[in-house]
Amino acid sequence: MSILLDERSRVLIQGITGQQARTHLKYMLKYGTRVVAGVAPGKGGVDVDGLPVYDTVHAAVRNHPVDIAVLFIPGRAAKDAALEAIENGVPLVVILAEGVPHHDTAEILARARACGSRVIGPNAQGMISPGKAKLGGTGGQFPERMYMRGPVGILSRSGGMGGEIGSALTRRGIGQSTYVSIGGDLLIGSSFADLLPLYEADPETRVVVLFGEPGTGHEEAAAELIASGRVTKPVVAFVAGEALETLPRGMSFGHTGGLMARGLGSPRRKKQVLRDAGALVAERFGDLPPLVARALGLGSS
Amino acid sequence: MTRLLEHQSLLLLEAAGVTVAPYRAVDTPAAAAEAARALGGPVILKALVPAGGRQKAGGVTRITEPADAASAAGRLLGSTLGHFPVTQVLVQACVDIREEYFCALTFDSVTRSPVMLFSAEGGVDVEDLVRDRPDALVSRPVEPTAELPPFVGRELGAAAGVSGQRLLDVADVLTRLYAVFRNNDGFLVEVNPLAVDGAGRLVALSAVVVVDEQAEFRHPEWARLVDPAGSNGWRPLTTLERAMREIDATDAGSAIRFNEFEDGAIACMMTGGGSGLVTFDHLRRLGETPATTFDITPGRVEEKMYLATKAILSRPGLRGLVAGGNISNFIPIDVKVRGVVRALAELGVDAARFPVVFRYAGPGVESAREIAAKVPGIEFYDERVSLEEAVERIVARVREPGRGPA
Repeated sequence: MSILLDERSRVLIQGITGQQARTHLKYMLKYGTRVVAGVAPGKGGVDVDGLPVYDTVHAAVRNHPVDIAVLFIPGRAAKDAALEAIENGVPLVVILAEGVPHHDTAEILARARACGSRVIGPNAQGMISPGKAKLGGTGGQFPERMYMRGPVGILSRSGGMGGEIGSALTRRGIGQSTYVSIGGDLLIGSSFADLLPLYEADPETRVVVLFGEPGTGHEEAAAELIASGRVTKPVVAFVAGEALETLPRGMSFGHTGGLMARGLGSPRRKKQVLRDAGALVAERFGDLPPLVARALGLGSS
Repeated sequence: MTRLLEHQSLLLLEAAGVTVAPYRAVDTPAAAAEAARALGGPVILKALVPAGGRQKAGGVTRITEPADAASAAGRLLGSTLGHFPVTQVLVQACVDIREEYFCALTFDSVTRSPVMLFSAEGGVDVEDLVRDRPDALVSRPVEPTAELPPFVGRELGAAAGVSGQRLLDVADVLTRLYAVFRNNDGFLVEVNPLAVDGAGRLVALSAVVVVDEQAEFRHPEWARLVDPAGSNGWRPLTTLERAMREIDATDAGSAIRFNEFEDGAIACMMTGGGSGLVTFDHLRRLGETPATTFDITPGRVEEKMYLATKAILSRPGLRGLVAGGNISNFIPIDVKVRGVVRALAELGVDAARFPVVFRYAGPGVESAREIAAKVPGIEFYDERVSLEEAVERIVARVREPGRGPA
């Protein structure tokens, strides 16, 4: 099994005629992702890689049942496209764009709550259930180099570092059930705490790895969930950015979510609450794979 | 995130119908004296810098006689507050303060929505309020609608113990502050204090508006308000940071994020927000400081990598360069490496004397390795060596005996 995505998931690509969409669509199809249609406003009726393209999500879902919409849409247009997917009843909406205005994201997430859609992202790289399907940019052209099927779930606020975790585990012969890049922004649709229960319910997943960053309350919320006993599977966590605490406040790195406001979201504190909750916390990134191996009962090396 | 100067923030509040204490922004002592006379009575002088904590840093002065305004403004102008040179001063009329409230709007990652905060015990630093009187600060998530229904403000004010006509007035101000937050793509709007004056009116004495850069495309008016080269969040941009902004502006196809650190000696160009953090942590763990952090989003990156590498290596006192990032999905890495290597070759970098460690993984790695071989001595690693191990290599190399600056 896996979470959210498998070989049966029917996928709609919004913004299918864009350069990045066309590149990654080819990789998704090659990996076995069941892409059923695309949307490109004003370009309805064309054909991309043998897939029908519609002007509207409405027309697409009328002709093709859809489980997941993936948005290859720039940040400034993401709200429009996401609301279109949500209001047309798409259950899972994956927003890859960086730079979605915070007020737009808040609106998207409010509408998703009201309509019962789940949102991943924004500023997410994609996701992969190894051997089954992949979405967005995750795994790129050669996903098999980084991911193999197995018992480890991965959730990462950094898309790139999720890939590093997959790759490091795969090189040790440890496979993954599903890796979800949850997005680097302050406001995201699905946090660690939202997705951990899915792994808990997934029979294939035996251990979950979290990659955290400074800022937000996502790691703290995950710790609370673990402490509550609602997650019984071992959680191995790494929180990057401790060195930022030695810098003046107000300094921000890459992700906007990394902005540390008023001393909240400190990596040191996040690690402490995760440890207190019973998670296995890696001090160095290199400690992650052996901790995962230990949690799987494979012994560390 | 860009913090507006206080007079710009006050203007946004006024436009939304919030009463603010009369003020003028000036840039000479003479203009300060003139403003003080015009405002009449005692005035407050505040250094206009895009940073908080001005009171504690000595950037706020109260003047009873307008005649003293020039000399007081003169002391502020030309001084440095935090890291910012003071080039403008706000002259603000004093208000007969009877009560002080705290109001703020920002976003909450946990509720994933805007959040509104209010306290009837404002006038102190919010950090102090949270620490000393946490129960006096009330907050609630608000729906991200075009307008805030006034009942939200009434609920919040009532929760903080405000009642009667005052409650309606507070709700009115909160509704207007929400409009400032929403219509200006605010990331933070804070008024502290919102004063109750002798006539019972609510008057904003101070305002902080931080706008969301991710919404810049729909705010052409920000070009007039904000100096993009003014601040990186805690200090003005360095010369190299300004140069990097110019390089970034050469092509909108990808975006550079760059920081420089005064005391660092290892140039760091590890792309990907997360890998930049992991690299930074490990350098610090090993007792080193990066001279730079550098990130670039996918797009037409070769020319930017070339220009950025040249600019970074122009920095004096560097002892080595570590470049690369997490395993790439988007950018063929040979394109990136071509840009970096072109710069190194052009600058005549001898990687035997000036250590260069690459950690690049992803599509194009074989070709990238060949390109890197053009500059002898570059250590090239792929995903079989972790980001942390690459950091360990550059640290070991720069610590070899007999190494000097580039």
